[in-house]
Amino acid sequence: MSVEVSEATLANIKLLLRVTILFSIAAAAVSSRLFSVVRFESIIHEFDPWFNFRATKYLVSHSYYEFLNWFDDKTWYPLGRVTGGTLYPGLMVTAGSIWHGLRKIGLPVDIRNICVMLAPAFSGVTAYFTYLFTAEIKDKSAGLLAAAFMGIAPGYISRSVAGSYDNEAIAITLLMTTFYFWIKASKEGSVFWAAWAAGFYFYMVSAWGGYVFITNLIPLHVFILILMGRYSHKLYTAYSTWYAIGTLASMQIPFVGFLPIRSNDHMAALGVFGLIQIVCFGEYIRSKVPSNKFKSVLFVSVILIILLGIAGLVSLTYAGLIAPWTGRFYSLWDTNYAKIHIPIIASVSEHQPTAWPSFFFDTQFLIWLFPAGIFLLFQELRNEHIFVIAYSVLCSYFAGVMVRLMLTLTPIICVSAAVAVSKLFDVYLDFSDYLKEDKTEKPKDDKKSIFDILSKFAVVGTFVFYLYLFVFHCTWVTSNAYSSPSVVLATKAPDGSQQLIDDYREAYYWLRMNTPEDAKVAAWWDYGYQIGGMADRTTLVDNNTWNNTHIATVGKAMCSNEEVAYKVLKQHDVDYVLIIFGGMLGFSGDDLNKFLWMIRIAQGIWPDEVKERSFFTERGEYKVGREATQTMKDSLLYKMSYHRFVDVHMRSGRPAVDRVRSQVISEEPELNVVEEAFTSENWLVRIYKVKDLDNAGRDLREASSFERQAAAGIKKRTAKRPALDIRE
Amino acid sequence: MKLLTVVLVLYAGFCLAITNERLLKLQERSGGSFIKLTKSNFNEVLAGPRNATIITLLTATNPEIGCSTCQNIAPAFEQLVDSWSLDHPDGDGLFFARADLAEGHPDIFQALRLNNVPKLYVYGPTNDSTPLTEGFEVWNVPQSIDFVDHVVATIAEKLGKRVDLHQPVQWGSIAITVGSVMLFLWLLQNYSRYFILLITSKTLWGGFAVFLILIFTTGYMFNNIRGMPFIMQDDKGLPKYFVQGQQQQLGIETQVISAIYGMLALSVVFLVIKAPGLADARVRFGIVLYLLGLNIVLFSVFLSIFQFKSSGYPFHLLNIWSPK
Amino acid sequence: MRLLTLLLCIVSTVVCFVPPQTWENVVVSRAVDLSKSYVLEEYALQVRNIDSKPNGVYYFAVPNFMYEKISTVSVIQGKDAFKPLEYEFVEQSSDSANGPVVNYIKIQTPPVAPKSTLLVTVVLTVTNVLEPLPAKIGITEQQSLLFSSFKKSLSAYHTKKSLLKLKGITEAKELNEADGIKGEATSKALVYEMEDISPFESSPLSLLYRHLKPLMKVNKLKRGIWVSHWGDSLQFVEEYQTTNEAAGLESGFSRADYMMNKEIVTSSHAALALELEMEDGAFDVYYTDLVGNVSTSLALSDKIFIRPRFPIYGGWHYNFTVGWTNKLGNYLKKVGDDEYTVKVPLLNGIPGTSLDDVEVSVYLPEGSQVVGVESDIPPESEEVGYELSYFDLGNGHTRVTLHYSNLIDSVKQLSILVKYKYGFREFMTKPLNVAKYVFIALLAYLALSKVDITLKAKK
Repeated sequence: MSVEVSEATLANIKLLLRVTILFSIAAAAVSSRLFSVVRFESIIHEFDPWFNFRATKYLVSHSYYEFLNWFDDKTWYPLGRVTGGTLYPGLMVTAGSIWHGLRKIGLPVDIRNICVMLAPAFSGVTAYFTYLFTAEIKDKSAGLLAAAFMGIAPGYISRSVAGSYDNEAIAITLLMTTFYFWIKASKEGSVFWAAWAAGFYFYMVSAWGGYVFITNLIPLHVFILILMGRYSHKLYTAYSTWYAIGTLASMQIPFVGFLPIRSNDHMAALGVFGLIQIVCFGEYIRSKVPSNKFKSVLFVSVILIILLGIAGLVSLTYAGLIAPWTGRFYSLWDTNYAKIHIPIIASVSEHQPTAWPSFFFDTQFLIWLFPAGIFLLFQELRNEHIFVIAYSVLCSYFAGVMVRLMLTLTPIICVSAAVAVSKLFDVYLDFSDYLKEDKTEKPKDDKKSIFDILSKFAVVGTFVFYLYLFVFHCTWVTSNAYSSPSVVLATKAPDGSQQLIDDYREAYYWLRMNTPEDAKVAAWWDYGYQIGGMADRTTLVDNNTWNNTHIATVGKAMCSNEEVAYKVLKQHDVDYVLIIFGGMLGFSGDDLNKFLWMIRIAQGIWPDEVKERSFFTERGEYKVGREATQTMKDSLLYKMSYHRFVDVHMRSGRPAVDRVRSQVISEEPELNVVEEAFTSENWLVRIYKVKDLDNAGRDLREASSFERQAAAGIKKRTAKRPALDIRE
Repeated sequence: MKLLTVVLVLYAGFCLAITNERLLKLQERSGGSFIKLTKSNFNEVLAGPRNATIITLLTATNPEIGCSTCQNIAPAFEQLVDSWSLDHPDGDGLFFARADLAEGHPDIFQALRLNNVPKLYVYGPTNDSTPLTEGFEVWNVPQSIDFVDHVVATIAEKLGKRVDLHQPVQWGSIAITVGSVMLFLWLLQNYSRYFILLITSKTLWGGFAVFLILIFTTGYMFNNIRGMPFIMQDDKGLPKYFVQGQQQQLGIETQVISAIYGMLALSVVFLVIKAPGLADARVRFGIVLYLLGLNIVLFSVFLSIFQFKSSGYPFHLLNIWSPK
Repeated sequence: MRLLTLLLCIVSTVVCFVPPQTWENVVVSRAVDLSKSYVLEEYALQVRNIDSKPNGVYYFAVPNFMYEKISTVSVIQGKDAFKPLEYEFVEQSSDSANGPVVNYIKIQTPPVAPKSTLLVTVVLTVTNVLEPLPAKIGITEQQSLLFSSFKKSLSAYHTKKSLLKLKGITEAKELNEADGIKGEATSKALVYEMEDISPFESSPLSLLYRHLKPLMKVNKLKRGIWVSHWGDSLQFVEEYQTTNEAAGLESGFSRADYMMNKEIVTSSHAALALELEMEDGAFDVYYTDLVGNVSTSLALSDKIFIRPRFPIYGGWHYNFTVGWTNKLGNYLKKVGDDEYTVKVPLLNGIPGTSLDDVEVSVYLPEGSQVVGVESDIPPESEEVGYELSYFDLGNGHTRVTLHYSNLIDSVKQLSILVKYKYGFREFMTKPLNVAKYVFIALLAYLALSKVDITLKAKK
C-alpha cells in the first residue's frame, strides 16, 4: 500500500496536474466562446467592435504615427473626428502586433480573424491570471477553481465571445493582471512587482476608459490599510512606485494626456500618494521622537492636511484648473444625473440599472457564494483580503447601477466564490485521516468516522453537483444569450431549421456598391460605426457620441415634419437617410422604439422646435396607429418607416399591423422630400435618397403632388377618354 | 333707467369679478400656496369673470378610490405650487387650486360632472361671467412622463410664465441628521472604549460588507433608480410579489432574494466555520445535514423563482414552491 | 466604286488601306445570336477567287464600331473546327464613302485556284454593343434592348447573296426601316435576305427586342489558383466585380412593388441569382463578399448557385468572392526530374457574360522556379513574382500572373499550362523550418524559466 514518494516527485506531479488543469481551463474558456463562429461565421459583432475593427485595419495598413494622427473625415460629417487622439489604442495595437508577429513567423492571418479571435484568446490569459491572483488570496487550489469559474462565467463571456472585438475583451485580462501584480507588490514591498503593476496599468489605460476603476481602487485599498493602522514600508514602496510610474506612463496616451493631474477622477490616487508620503514621514519622526504627545499632533496634522487637500481640490475645480467628474463617472453616483442632463448616456441600454435576475443569469450559484466568500475572508483579513473586500463592495454597487459593469464584478465574484468553495472542500474533501496507515491510536467510537464520512460525502456530492449544474448553466446561457453577432439575426423557420436574417449587411452592402463613394448617410448614431465599417460611407453621427449637438441634429431631422427635416438634411449635405424598421419582421430594437430618445436629445438643443409631449396622445401614450398624434404622423421617421407599408398589406388583404407595436396602421403617409432608394428583404433597413431641389423651383411637396396627379392622369387617359385640352 | 342699468352692470361686474387680492386671501385661508376648493368657495373661485389664470387640479387621493396616478402626482403638485408661490407671493396672475375628493365636497365633482380623475382644468382670465362648467381648458395629466416637468413646460408654452422649481427644504430630516450627529458625538465621547471595540469588530464589518453586497446584487439600485413599486396587485386584487421578465423586478423581490442569498451564504459559512468544530459526532452530523438540506431547499426554491422570472430557463432542482 | 474609295483615301490623308479586289462573295450567311449579354456572330462565307492567279489572303471586313468591341475571333476552314486558319488584325483601316470606317482581319487561306470557291467560317464575339432602351424603366416594366449593327453584309468585295439571321430574340421591332428591306420572321429567327451588294455598301440596322434577362458583366475578375503539393490540392479563389448593364430603375428601388409583383420581377432584367461554374469534384466551396459570408448559395459538385445580397438591378454593382478546392492529381503532371506541369482552366465563371479585365494568378509552392508558361489565348501581360502565405519564411509562394482583357465566358475550355521546377529540398524546407522555429521557441522558454527573479535579502 504505502508507496514512498519523495517530496520533489510529489511537487512535480502537482505541477504537472496544475499545468494540465490550467490548459484545459484555457481550452474550455476559448471553446465556449466559439458558439457564434460555429453557428454564424467569423464576423465582428455589434456596434463598437466595427469601429475598432476599422481602426485596426487602418493601423495595419499605415504606420503607428499615422494612426495616432489619423483624422477621419468619413465620420461626423462635416466636422470629422481626430480619431487617433480620441481613442484608446491598446486594443488595436494589440491586434496589430499579433498580426505583425504572426506574419513574422509565416502566418499571414487575415486581420479580421485576429480581431474575431482576440477576445477568446485573452480570456484564456484572464483565467490564468485569475488563478495567480486567487492563489495569492488563498492558495493554489482555490486559484484553480477561480480560474475555472472565470473561464466559463457568462458575466465575462458576454463581452468576450469570438467577434466581440471591444476594449473590454482585453481590459478584463489587464485588470486581473494589474491587480495580481499589485497584490504581489504590496505583499512583498517589491519595486519589481510594483513596476510590473504599473506597466500593466499603463497597458490598461491604453485599452479601456474603465482604467479609472483601478486608479481609484488601489488608492482606496491603501487608504483603508492606513486607516486600519496597517501602514508599512512595503506598502509605501509598492504604492509610490506604482503611482509614479503608472501615472507618468498613462500620460503618454494622447487621449489621456494631462487628465491624471487635472481631472477629479484621478484625484483620489494623487491624494493618497500625498498622504502616504506624510504618513511615512510621520512614521520616521515617530521612530526618532518617542513621545506620546506626538501621536495626537500627527493625528491633527493629518486631518488638517486632508481638509486642506479637499478644500484645495474644490477651489481648483471651481477655478477650472481641474476638470470635474466626467458625465459617465458622475452618473454612477447620482443616479438621476444622466437621465436629466445627459440623455445620450441614459439612452444606452448597457447603462441601465441591473435587476437581480441578471446577476444570477451571469454568475449562477457563484452569486450567493460571493457573500459567503467575503465573510470567510473577514475571518483572516490579511492585507490582500481587504483589497478583495473593497473591490467587492464597490463593484457590487457599480454593477447594480449599470448593467455593463457586471463585467468588472464578475472576476471578484469568481475569486471569492472560489475561496468559499475551496474552504468548504478543505474541510469536507479532506480524507487524509482515513488513509493514514498507523493504527496506533484507534478512535474510540467507530460511528464518528462513519458519520463524518457520510457528511463529507453529502456535502461534497451536493457541491460537485452544483458545480456540474453551473457548467450546464454557463453553456446554456452562452449559447442562447451571448452568441448572437446582432449583425445577423437568427430565427427558426416553420420546419424548425435555422434561418438567418441578414438585412443589415444586405442594406450596408447595397450602400457600399451602389452609391457614390462620397455619399453622406444620415442614420441614428447606433448605426454609425456599422455604416462606416460595412458600407464604407460617410456618416453624420456615430457611436462615439462626442458631439451632442450633432446627434441632436439628426434627431431633429427624424422627428420634424418634412419641410424642416429637408432643410436640416440639405444643410448637412445628406444624400441618404438610413432607418431601421422592425414593424414588418417584429424586431423590437428599431428606430421607432428609439424615437423617444431622438426626440429627447433634439429637445435638449431645440426646446422650442421639438416637444416630446406632442408625440404622446392625450392619454400620455406612445401610439403609432390611428391614435397617433399629428406631430407623430408628420415626422420624417414615421413617414419613412411606414412608407408603402399599408399598400403591401392591402394587396394581400391583411390589416397593416405593425408587429412590434401591435397597432394597425391605417393610412399611407405621404412622402415628398425623400425617395425610397432601397429596402432590405424583411424591411429591417430602409434607405431613402434625399431629393434634389426641384428644377422648376417648386417646393418638393408641390412637385411630387404634381407628379402624382400626372401619373393618375395618365392612367385615366388610357382607361377612359383623351385628356381635354386645357387651353381655350 | 339706462344709467341705472349701466351702474348695475358695472357694480355687478365689480362685485362678481373675483380679484387677485381675494384669491390671495383664499389661498392664505387654505393655509398654503394654493386654494383648497370647498363646497363654499368653489363657485366663487371658478366662475368668471376673473383677472387671473387658475390652474385647477381635480383629484382623489383617498385610498378607496384607488387612483394611483392621483397619489403619485400629489407631492409633485405641491412642489410645483410651493415653488410658484415662493417666487410670486402676490400670485402674479397665476393661481393654483385643488379639489380633492379625500377632503370631502363631492359637490364640486358633481357640478363639473366629473367621473374620472385626475384632471387639470385651466380657467383663463375673462370678463364674462361664465359658469364654472365653461371657459376652461383641459390640460392632459401625463402618466408616462414626469408630471412636474410636463406642467411646467405647458405653463411656459401656453401662459408664457416661467416656473423655477425649488426642491422643498426638508427641515425634519435636517433636524434628525443634526440630532443624530450630536447624539453620535456624545456617545463617542462617553463610550469611546465600546466604540473602538465596535469599529474594530471583524464580524460587524463583515456583516456590514455582506449586507451591502447582498442588497446591491439583488437589484436595490434598480428599485431606487427606476422607482419600482414595492408590491403590486394582480387582477383579483391579490398581492403580487414577483413580476415576470429578466429586466423587471419589484421592491419586495430585493428583500426576498437577498434573504435567500443570505441564508444560502450563511449555510456555507456555518458548514465551513462552525460545523467542524462541534464536539459531538452525532450533533455534528445532524447540523451538517440540516445546513445542507436548508441549502438545497432554498436553492431549489430560488431556481423556481428564477424560472418564473425568466421563462425558458431549463434548469431546476426540487419542485418545492414556485410563484404563480 | 473602288476608284471613288481610292480617291477618298487620298483626299482624306488618313493612313488608308483598301484590299485588292481578288475575291467575290458568293454567299455570306451571317447568324447573330442575341440571347446572351454579348453578341455572337457567325459568318459562313462562300468565296470565289476572281483573280487570275491563285490567292491565299482574304480580308474580312469589320465596321470600326464593332471592331473595337471584338472579344474573340476564330476562323476555320469549312465548318470543321479542327481546321483553324491563321489570321491577323490589319492595322490600317479604310474610310468608305457612305459607310462606316472599316477594319480588316487578314485571313490566310490555303491557296485557291482562280474560279474556285472556298468555305470559310468566321466566329466573332462582340461585347458591349447591346444597350437597353429606354435606359430607365419601372420595376414592373419589361426591358427592351437595342442592337445597332448593319443589315447588308459589309465587305470589301462584291457580294452576290447575303443572308442575315437574328436569333434569340422575341418581340423584335426594327426602328429604322428606311431601306425597305423587310425581315421574315420564322419560328427561330428573323431572317433578312439581300442580293447584289457592292463593296462597302452598308445599311444600318437598329433592332429593338424584348430581353427579360439581366446583362451581367464582369468588370474585373481576380482569379487565384493555389498549387499545394503538401496538401495535394488546387485551391481556386475568384474575386468578381460585376455590374448589371440592363435598364436602370426609373426611381428608387421599392421593396413594396418588388414584393407585390413577385412573378414579374423573377423573370426580369434584375439578377436575383447567379450561376457559377466550378471544376468538377469541387469541395470546400465558399461564397463571401466584402462584409462577410453570404449564406444564400447552393453548391453542387461542378457549379454553385449564388443569390446576391440584394437583387441586382440595372446599373447596380455587386462584388463577391467564390472559392473552392480540387484534388491536385488531375491537374499536375511530373515531366522530369523535379519538374512538373500544372494545367489549369483559364476561366470557370458565369455563363453568358463577358469579362472586361481578368487577372489569373497561379501560385506555385514556395521555392519553385517557373520554367515556362503557355496560354491558349495570348495574355496582355505576364509576370512572375512572389506572395507570402502561410508558413512561408523565405520569398513566399512563386506567383505567375497573367492579364487578359475583354474575354467571354466560352473561353473557359481553354487552359493555362505552367511548367516549373520544384525539388525535394524545397519540398522539405517548410516542415524543417517549422520544426526549427518550434525548437528555438522551446529552448528560449527553457532558458527564460531558469532566470531567477525572486527578491532575497543579502546575507
